Amino acid sequence: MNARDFNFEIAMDGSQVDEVVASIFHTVLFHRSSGKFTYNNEESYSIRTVNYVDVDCDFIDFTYVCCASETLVRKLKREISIFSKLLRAIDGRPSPAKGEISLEFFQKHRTRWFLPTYVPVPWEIWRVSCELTESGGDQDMHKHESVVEMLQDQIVFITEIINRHEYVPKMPNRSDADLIFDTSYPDIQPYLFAIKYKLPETESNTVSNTVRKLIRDTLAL
Amino acid sequence: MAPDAAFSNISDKNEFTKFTKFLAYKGVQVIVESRKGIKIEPNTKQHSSDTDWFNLQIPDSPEVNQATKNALPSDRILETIRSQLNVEISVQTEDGDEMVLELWTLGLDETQFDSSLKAMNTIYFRMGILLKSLITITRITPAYHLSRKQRTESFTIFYRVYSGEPKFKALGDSVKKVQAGMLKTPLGGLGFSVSYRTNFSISPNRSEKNKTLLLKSDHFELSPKHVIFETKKKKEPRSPQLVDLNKPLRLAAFVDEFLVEQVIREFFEKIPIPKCRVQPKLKLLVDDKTTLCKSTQELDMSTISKSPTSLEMPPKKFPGFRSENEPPLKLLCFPFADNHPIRELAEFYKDFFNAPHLKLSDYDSAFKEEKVEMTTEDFSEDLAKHENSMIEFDQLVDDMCRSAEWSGN
Repeated sequence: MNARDFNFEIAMDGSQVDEVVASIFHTVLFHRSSGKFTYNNEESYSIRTVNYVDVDCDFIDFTYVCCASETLVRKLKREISIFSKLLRAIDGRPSPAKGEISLEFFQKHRTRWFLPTYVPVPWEIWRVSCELTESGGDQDMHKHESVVEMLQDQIVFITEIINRHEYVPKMPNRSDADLIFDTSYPDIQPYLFAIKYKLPETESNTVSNTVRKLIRDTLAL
Repeated sequence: MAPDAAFSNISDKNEFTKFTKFLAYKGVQVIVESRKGIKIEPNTKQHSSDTDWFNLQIPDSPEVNQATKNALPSDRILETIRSQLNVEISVQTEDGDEMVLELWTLGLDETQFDSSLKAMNTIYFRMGILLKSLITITRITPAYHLSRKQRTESFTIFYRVYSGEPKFKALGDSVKKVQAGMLKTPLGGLGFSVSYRTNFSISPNRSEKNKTLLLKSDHFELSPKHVIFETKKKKEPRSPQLVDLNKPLRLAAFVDEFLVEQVIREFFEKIPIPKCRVQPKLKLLVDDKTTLCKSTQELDMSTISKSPTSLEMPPKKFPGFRSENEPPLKLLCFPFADNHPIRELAEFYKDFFNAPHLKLSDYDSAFKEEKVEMTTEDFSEDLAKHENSMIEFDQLVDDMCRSAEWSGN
C-alpha cells in the first residue's frame, strides 16, 4: 500500500524544536483521534466525546489545539523531547544541524491468517524536517516571525489535506478494532501511530530503539 | 450544480439538513468561544456526555444559539447556508472606535458536490472532522491573539451573526482568506472560511465629520511583529468649546486654591442662595478639595451613581454597552471573568445586566414628592430674600461687567 507522505521543512532555533513539532503532530492527532468506542455488539458501536485544550507555546507566539488526553500529551512530549535533545546535541558546524521526525499512521495486517503475528502498514506519514539556525543577532525576531507564519500555513495545509478524506481505514468490527485504532488510551481513540526520527549519525532510528539502547548502555555500566 | 436527486430518499435529506443545522450552530459556538479570550485548559470544561453533537465537547451558550437561530431560520436551513451564514468579529476600544477584524462564513458550494457519499453516518463523522478543523483554524488568526489580550487591555471583542452576502468591505483593502476545510456532500461542498484583515490602520467610523479626533493606540500588539493599530490624528483648529454649566468646573493649573475658595465664599455670602438646593455643593467645594480636582468624568459618574435613576440605567462606561439602535453585537467578555469559578459570577452579572429595566415606582414618586414639598416650603422665603437682594444682584452684575471690560482692555 502506498502511504500519503507529507513533508514540512522548517528552519528554527534549537529551543523551538519541541513546540514546532508538537504543534504539528498534535494538530494532526486531534483530527485523527475520535472518542472511545463502545461496542454494543460485533458491528454496532457508539463513540464518546473528545475534549480539547489550548496549548500556548513558550518559545514561539503560537497557540495550538490538542486532545485533552494526558496520556497522549505525555507520550508525544517524551518522544519529541528525545529527538530534540539528540538534534540539538549535533555540532552545527560547518553545516547546520538537521534532523527529521515523523508521525506515521498505520494499520496492522496479519502476516498469515492462521498466525497471530502482524505487520504494520503505514497509510499516512507526516514528516517534519528541522534545520537548526544559530540564535542571537538582529535576525532573531524575523526568524521567529517566519517560524510562526510557516506553522500557520502548515496548520491550514493539514486541515485541507485531512478534509479531502482520501484514505482512512474503514471502521472496524469489534474484533479488529486493535488493528486500526490504539485502544490503550482511556479518554480518546487515535488511529494507530508511531513516531520515528532520522538524524545524520543514526539513520532510521526509532524512539523506542534509542530508549532500548540507552537502557542497554546503562545496564552495561 | 448538485443533482436534484442528491439523496435517494427524503429522510436522508431531512437528516442531512438536521446535521447541517447543528454544524452551523456548533460552528458559531466554536468561533465565539475562541474569541472570548479564555484559554481552554484541562478540567475547565464541564463533564462531557455521550450525546454531544459530532462527538466534540463544544459549548452550548444559549445566547449564541439564539443569535444563530435569528440568522438561520429552521425552515430554511439549506437555503440560508447556500446564501452564506456569517459571523463577524469586531473590536471596540474604550473610546468607541471600532473595527471589523474577521468574517467567518459557512457556505454550501453547489459546484463542489460528491454524489458518491451517501452514508449519513459518514457525513456525520466528517462534519465532526470539519469542526475540528474550524477549532484549529480559529487559533491561528490575529483576532485570536487579540481576544486573548482583551482582559488586560482596554478593548472588547464583539460578534454578530447574519446571513446573506458577507460584508467584506468592512475588513478594509488588505484581506487574507483561509479555508477551514471543505466537506463534499451530495448537495455541494460544505465549508467554513475566514477572511481577516491584515491592515490594522483604522479610521474609526464617526458619524460626524468634525469628530475626527482619533487616538494612537499601541495596545493592539498582535504578535512579535508588533503590528500597531495606527490611527490618524488630524490637527485641525479646535473650535471654541462651550462650557457645560451642568458639569462641575475644574481648577486650571497653578491656580491658588485658597484664593478661589475665598472668592467663592465671599460670593455666597453676598448672594443668598436657597439652602435646600445649592448648599450641599458649597459644602462639597469647601470641605473636599480633592473631589474638586477629579476629572469631570469621575464626577459625572458619582452623580449618576447617586441618582435614583441609576438603578435602571447600565453604567455608561460599561464596555460593550450599546444603544438599541446600534447593530446587535453581543458582549463577549467580562473584565473580571478570568477563570472558570469567576465565570459563574460573570454569567450572573450578565443576567443582571441584561435583565429588563425596572420601572421606578414607589421610590421615585416618593422622592419627587419630597422634593416638591421642600421646594414649596422654601419657595416664598427664597423669593423674599431674592427680592430684598435685588440691588445687590444688580451691583454684582455691574461689577462683573466692569471687570470683564477691564480684563478685555
